[in-house]
Amino acid sequence: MYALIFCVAVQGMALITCSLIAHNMKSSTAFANLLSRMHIPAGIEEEPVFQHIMLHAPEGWDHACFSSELTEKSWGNQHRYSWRIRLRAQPDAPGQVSLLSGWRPHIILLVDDGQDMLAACDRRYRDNSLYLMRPDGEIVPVRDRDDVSSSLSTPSGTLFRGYYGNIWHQADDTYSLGGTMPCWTFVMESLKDFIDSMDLCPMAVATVSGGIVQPFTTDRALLFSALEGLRPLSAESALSKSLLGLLDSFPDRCSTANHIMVATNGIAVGDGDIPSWLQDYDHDGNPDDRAIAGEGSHCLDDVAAMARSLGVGVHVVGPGTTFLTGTADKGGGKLMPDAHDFDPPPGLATLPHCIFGDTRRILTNIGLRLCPSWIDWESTAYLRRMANGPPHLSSITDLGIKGTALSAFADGETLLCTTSRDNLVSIDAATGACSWMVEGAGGRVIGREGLIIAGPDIRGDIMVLGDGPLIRWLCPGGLFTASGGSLYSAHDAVITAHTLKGGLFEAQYRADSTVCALEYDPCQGVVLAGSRTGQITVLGQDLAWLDLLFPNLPGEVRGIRSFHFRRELHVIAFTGSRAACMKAGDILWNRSPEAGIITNAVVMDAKLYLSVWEPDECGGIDSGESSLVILDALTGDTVSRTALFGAKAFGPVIDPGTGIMEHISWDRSIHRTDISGLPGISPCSLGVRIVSESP
Amino acid sequence: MERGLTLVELLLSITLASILSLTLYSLYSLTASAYREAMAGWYCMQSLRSAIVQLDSDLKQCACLLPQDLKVACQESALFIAGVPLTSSHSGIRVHASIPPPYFSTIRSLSGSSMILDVLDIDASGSYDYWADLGVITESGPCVISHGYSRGDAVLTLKTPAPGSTGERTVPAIHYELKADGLYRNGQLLAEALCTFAPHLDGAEVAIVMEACYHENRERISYTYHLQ
Repeated sequence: MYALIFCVAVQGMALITCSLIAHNMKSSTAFANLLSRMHIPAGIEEEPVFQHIMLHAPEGWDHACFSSELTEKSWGNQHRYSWRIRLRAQPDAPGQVSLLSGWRPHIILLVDDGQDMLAACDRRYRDNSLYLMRPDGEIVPVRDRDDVSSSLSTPSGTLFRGYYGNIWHQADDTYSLGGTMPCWTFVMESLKDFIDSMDLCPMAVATVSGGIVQPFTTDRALLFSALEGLRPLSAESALSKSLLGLLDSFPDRCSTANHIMVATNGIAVGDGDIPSWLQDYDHDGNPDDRAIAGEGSHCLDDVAAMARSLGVGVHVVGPGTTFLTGTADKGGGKLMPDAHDFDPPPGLATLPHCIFGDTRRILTNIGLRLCPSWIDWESTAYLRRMANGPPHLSSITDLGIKGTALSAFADGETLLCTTSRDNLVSIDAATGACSWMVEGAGGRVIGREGLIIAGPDIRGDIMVLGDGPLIRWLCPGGLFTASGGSLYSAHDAVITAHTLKGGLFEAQYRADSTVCALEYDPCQGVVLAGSRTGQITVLGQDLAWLDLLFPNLPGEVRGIRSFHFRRELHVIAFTGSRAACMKAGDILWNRSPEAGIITNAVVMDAKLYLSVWEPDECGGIDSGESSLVILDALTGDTVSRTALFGAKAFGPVIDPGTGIMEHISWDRSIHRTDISGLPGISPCSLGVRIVSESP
Repeated sequence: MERGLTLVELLLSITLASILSLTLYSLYSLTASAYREAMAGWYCMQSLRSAIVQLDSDLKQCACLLPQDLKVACQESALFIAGVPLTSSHSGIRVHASIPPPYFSTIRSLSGSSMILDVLDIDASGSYDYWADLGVITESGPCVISHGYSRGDAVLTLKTPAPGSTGERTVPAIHYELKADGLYRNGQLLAEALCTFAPHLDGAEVAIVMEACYHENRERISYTYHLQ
């Protein structure tokens, strides 16, 4: 009986349980709970493992500037993927000369090229400087070599050190001025130093005998070339006449101050007649302030005084005689002036700044040279490129940096920067310590595969430096770009590929005309070359011709950007005034940014961010209006236009980490644009993979 | 001498035996009925469970390494979940050594119920990612690759006119479809007892109502999945 009751009770309980289970199983909530438990990864108690993979730029992002970082979070049997943008390199702006509208003195270097300049003029050779005595006896300063300890005979003449020359190459003291160095050598050395110390201002070269030989330019190579082409062969030194003749040589506009720098020993020979009213303009009672039969009038100080009254400052480079000192005083100038005598702007930026985490490094120029307060020069090793033998560097003591910032590249925690005077510095971004400075390496600078590529310098060389730094190799070229293994350089219409590490020749391609833009696309593995005629040539890594694009742009191509969209390569080319987008040979759009010139461009999320600048008539970086114009990269339609500065905007500088894009003005004010809303700035999910299910 | 059973005793015993027999029979009958009902319910629920487990797994992994705006599409009683199933000949979409995800194809041309894509191996892994009975999600809508399609053919033959237009992105998708004999996944029977399959996409939420029928038993559940 009890057994029977027990059976009934068990069966009843079984039925109740079954009905409860059935009811429970009908609930989707119960299923969801069940499934969620089922997909809890195995090994939940373990920490997830993160793996980061760097891949090419994502769709719609600039190939040269961006990479995508894929993150795989492995947690038990789950693999969760996400991607975000990483910066490969900041968008590189086409090379431009920076000039100010508010400070732009024009300086004429008037060189006395009379034979009397070969006489001594109260100056001694600089002990460790190198000089060349040509076969005709002319002594000129030359680039440094480390194979000349005191004197060395070469086919071009005798090279000697200054201390050696002070004993063995003393100039004739014809005019009892003292010293050992010929005045010609002294003024040539001084003028070259002056050109190196000055920046951002146009200069011209004139001679007493021939007038202007090099019109106003900011090209240091042209100025040096003009000086090196001069010879002290003139029988006359018509100082006052030549100075008078130059007073109307300045431009009417875009010059904030006019200066003439007279490089002379002050000995006028056969000076031409000048108007009688000018002969004693300064009323100094000098008995020589009159016309002398057969010699004309010797009135340099009077002409200087008159020049001052006309707003032209007259400076003197030469011996510190009473006459020349007085001439400089009366001319409102200085004897042996330097950059500070021209009241340069106290601090200005000529480059975009660099961002290292939370630190912003602005490459400020103070006194016309790269000298931001945060750089510590204490432990800097100074090196100079030598002119002898295979290209190499030698240590130099106490070398000062020259020139304003020209190009910068952030290579990890190291900031590389070149100046307009071919100085290359390597700075630790965190501490600001400058580890080394090389004189003789300039132009644009980038880092690749642990090597530094800089160029072209004043000689037109592109230099590849390795650790040390040491010059590994160099080649001539005007433009360059680099892949991981090759350096592509363009010289006129010829593009040459060399191996990056060894400089071995790889391939060559001749474009239709001078190449003015050269970009390597690291995602497609192609070289994009824009020519003066507006064509874009697409070349393989071996410089094999792949395609030719015609953006139909007027003028020379200044910049090329590439990105892919819907698996197709899109190329954007821009000149100063227009931009065009091409795809597989078709022009998608071609338009101008309405007003202004395009100074830089970058593609992000299929939008083209154009930095546009509308300068004033003088084109100074401190003038005009700049704006950020955002176009749809696929249609060319304007998305937005934002005013940046009342001046040129340098940049953009992109910091994906904080989702900020910045532009900087010459006065170091920064404009920030929020780009944090772009996909990829924050990590974007790419889904989940479950490797082994356990249902 | 032994004493026999009295009539009363006999009747009592017969009565008790009958009561016991009836009780046992009714218990047996009740248990058997409950068992049959439970079995039918279990069969329905097992079908639903098979379907929902697979759906959940596919949805959890949907659009892995594919465009996240092409995750799921619905078409009448068919559901398309972006992705490819792991098979012996396909190890799924994989991360390429240099090409960043998301991976997709673009429509190069359309003609009737055929479609030509720019690539059939979207992750450049060396194996084709589109094959017969698999679904395709385009930016304009989904469709199904014909059963007769040979893997790797440049021309993708479809069961219905191809949606979309040239240049649109497409991704392979796992295709769920209800037929007379149950729910099919990529042309293979997944859940026999399913008689209703009504997926609905509302923003980032996929809601699926499923009903399983077996004999007189009907089990209905609704399943909701939030796309991340």
